[in-house]
Amino acid sequence: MASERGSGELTAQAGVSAGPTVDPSRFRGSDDPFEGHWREFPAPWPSTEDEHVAARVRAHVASVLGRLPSRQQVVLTLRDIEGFNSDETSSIVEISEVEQRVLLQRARAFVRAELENHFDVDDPKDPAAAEDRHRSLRRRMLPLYAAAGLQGVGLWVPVEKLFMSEIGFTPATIGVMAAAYAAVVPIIEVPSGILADRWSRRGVLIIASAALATSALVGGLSTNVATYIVAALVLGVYFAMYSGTMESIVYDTVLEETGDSTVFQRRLGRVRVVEGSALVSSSLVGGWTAELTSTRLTYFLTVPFVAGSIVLYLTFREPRLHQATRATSLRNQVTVTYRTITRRGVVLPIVTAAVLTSLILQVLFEFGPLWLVAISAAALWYGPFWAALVSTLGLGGLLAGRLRLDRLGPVLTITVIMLLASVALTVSRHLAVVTAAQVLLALLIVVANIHVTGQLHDAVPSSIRSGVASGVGALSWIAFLPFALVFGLLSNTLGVHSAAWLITATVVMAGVILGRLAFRARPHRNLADLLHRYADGTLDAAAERRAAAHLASCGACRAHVEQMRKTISMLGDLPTEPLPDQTRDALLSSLRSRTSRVPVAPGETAEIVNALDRTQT
Amino acid sequence: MTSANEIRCDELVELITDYLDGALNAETERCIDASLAACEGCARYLAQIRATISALGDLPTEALPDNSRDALLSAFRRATR
Repeated sequence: MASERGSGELTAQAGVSAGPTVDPSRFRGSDDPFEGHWREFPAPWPSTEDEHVAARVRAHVASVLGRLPSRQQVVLTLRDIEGFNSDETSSIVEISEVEQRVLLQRARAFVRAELENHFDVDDPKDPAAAEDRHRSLRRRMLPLYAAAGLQGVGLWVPVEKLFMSEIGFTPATIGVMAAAYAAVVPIIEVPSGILADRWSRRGVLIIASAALATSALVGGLSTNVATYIVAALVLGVYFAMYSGTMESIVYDTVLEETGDSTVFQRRLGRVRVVEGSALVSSSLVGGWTAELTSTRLTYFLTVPFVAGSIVLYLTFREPRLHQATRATSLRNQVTVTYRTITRRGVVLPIVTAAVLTSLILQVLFEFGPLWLVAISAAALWYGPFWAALVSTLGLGGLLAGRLRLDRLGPVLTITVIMLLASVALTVSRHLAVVTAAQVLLALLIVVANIHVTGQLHDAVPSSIRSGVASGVGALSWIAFLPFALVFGLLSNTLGVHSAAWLITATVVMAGVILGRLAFRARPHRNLADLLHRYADGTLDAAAERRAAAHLASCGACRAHVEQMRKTISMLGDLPTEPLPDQTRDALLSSLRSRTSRVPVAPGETAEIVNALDRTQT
Repeated sequence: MTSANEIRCDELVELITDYLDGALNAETERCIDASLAACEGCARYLAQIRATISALGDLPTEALPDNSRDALLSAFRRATR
């Protein structure tokens, strides 16, 4: 089947000698199980939206045209500079369309390679240019930071429970509301992420803010339980739309402006600082406003702030990276997003680390004050305790990207500190110790979570970025529900100190995976995918035998498979199926061989066997 | 060792011009769409080829006077023969 469409067909028809147009050393060689795949991805280019950059690019392109062989130069000029189509060009120069395209292909690849050199030498040799990029990034991000701050304003948050009891909520109806909210978020998460990928990240953020403003307005107008539950559902829409989308827009903006993702963690950290500060300060102001006027007013006063965030989003220039590839069908996109979250050996440990860190954070925020109850702390301490806990969101943002969690040493250090903190929560009855342990744990988890978010985004292409990030959000949400249930049950029966062993266990798992991620120097994405299938038991007998033989002689791969098996068994209990089985199978088979009945297509199996053969020889 | 539905990165980059011209059969085009959605490296390569084309398109056409084009064309035909 390959021969029907390979490049060989093309050159044969063209009757021209056509060696590769991209330096073959950029791809893995025949000694590699993944022959023909990129050794290292081409480095992303800076955005040329800046007229200064665009002008330099044009000047460089013009200067290299003269170095093309004349036939290529003519075809490139006619097609790309003068804008003739394929048909017109081939009749002007009197060659076949196929030959014309071969020449065009070679010419474009040459100019691209020259531009790549241009961008490559631009950075290290020109520190002023690098500084320019970072300044331009900071300027571009300003409206985004400001918008994140305004949408973080929630004057009603501290007095919500009070207001709810005023309009007739009982503990039972509060439970109904919480359940309704909890159900909406994971359902909308992934579709909202895919919408952000296919349409516009900025657009989705604007919808999120509109939902937030609507929720505050409906909440403030509520005089009964039913309308307030509607407000809570709309708040769920906001949350699902916002999460995943904000980090994707930050990542793509950083990539577009600076050409790499190294400063992503700090930029996302900055967003978290602004959000956290807005939350803390608006909580203080909200409590005070409610005291002076009414709880209802805090809802209405929130609306203009949130509306302001929409105006700011509109002034933000959205990155275009996710539109770089040609639009694929919705079906394909859903499949690829789904497969990326669940199938890739490299992505899965990152997803697990992200879920575990979010889990610990959510548990601390949900159950943290229970320790104060257990040790009968004076009511006076609840306020400062809560403020300290919430402030870790912002402080963690400041620390993000500074702890070098891509190295084993720092990971080990923070894991030990987190373990000590969580063990303290199982034994200490001292207010200061409990507070310090929670704050420290929350702080390090926030930093680790931002680090893992960076790794997740590094591992997925922009075209599915928001979808994957939102999928992780949905998974965290889904994982939290049973965890919270068990935690609540244990706290009731054995006390919150004993329940804290659950937190300790989760910290251990998170630490192991973070360590593994730091240890795994340069992951081989494709090999990891095959080993994942091995770990998953979805290879056919022959491929599996060969894979086992390879594993016997390769310690690194063995360790990787063991790690994946752990991850798989941990994720195994989670409902990770956003699609009904039947639909999913149909989607998958559209991508795979039509005759395949096993989860791995026969062609892929052959590829695996060949690949393993080569590793062994 | 290309399987029925996967395409190697070094093959994909050679098909970019045909892909952009819509000159491939539907099956191959689908393969490429799927690869581009799954492979950051190939997606970047395509984006960079597009950026290159757009930079070329922004060059002033008057930079190429007619007589130099004629000279090029005759050189082209000489080379073809």
